[in-house]
Amino acid sequence: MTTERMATMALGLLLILSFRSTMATPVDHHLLEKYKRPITVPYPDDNPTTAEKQELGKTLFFDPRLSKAKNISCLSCHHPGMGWEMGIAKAIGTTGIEKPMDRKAQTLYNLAWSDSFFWDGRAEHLENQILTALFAGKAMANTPEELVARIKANEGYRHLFQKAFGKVEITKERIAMAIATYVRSLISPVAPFDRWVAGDESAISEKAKKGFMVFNGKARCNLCHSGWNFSDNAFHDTGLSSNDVGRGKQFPKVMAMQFAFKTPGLRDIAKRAPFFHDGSLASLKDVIEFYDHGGQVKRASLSPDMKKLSLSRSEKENLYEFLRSLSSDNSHVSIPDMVF
Amino acid sequence: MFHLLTLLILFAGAQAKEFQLLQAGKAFLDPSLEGRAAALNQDPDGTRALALKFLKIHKGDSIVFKNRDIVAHNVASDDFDLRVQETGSNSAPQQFNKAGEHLVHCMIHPKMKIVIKVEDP
Repeated sequence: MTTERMATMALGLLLILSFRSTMATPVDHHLLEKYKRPITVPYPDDNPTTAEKQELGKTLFFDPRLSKAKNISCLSCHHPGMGWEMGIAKAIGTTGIEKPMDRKAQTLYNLAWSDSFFWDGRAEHLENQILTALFAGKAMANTPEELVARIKANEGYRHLFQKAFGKVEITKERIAMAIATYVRSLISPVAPFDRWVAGDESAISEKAKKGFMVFNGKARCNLCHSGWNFSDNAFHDTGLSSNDVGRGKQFPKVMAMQFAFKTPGLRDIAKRAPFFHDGSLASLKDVIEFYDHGGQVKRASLSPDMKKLSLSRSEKENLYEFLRSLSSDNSHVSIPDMVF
Repeated sequence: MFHLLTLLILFAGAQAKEFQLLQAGKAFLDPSLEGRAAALNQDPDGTRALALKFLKIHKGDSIVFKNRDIVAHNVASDDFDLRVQETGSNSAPQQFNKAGEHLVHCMIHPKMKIVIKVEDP
């Protein structure tokens, strides 16, 4: 090949590249600012974090002996490889598959920023949510007395409690405090989307970038899935066909709370199928179709922010690609040794 | 004579990254708020929350809640529920006839809350 031909080819390549860059998806950078990861993790004043408390909490989290039948642990419904959820529609507790819980297990990512827990937000503190899971009949079904007695009888735990709290004194509240401290440390790891927000233009595809604009534009997802964790921590009836009134049980007279559930964050969402509180939608593509139709049922409590979207096929594909860009790198969670 | 106040819930646009709660009827505002819009920030994590936490009004005053945000709201307290207000809509005037402190909040976005102190003139 002559030098001249090579130069011509190089020029052609340059032209193609510059054409590509002019064709790049226009993105509002002020918009990207809204999705920047936070720098610090908030812990409550009455339960500050320490390495020792996290270690105790993690051991408890992975320990099946916390459940009545010693057969399930927190991990049984919250799998780190599935975005801390479980790929089944309704969580299965000690009562087994014949009597599953009423709703799907929720992700544990980024709960340090949350101020209401469960799908209906009925627990105001993570510690209370954990106590409910430990003792509810369909969940771990233990009793406070039995749980505390088991932990007290365990020399290894007595040592861990001494390290974590400065005292061996073991109570159900301290068990919940330690688990909550560990759970608050579960921050969704950096995803390709975060690298893009931080300035790496090659971190996600052009399709995903277009999808981000659809997410914040025509599809209106950002009205509720806002901020870096993609949740407004608020409650909406999105029109899912279901008899579960959700937050309506706590507020029976408030129309807007009937069939309303808390907006889930979207971190690692591609690993968290099936979707919604009852796991009734199998795939992300089903979820996109759901919102494209403006929900499944029209009723008085339906959020007025739910509208038929009429997305094109390519808009749906781009949206799907964007959602996949929220999948973090492997979180490399190690399994702690159990104590005896 | 009783007065009508207006609480505006505004979406201030992408650049400001905040919502604003603006008021007409400044005579009834807490003096510290005089001359400026009381900011209503969106928390960095995406949660909608009112920055104005406290407002003093007189017994018998009414407030019209105007939703100028980009999403629906549902203003309520223990005593009333103004039901869902779509973007752009105004509530009926809500009169405050009981002296004391009333926690007013959005049912949909629980962190949007304000204490309205009703005083006997």
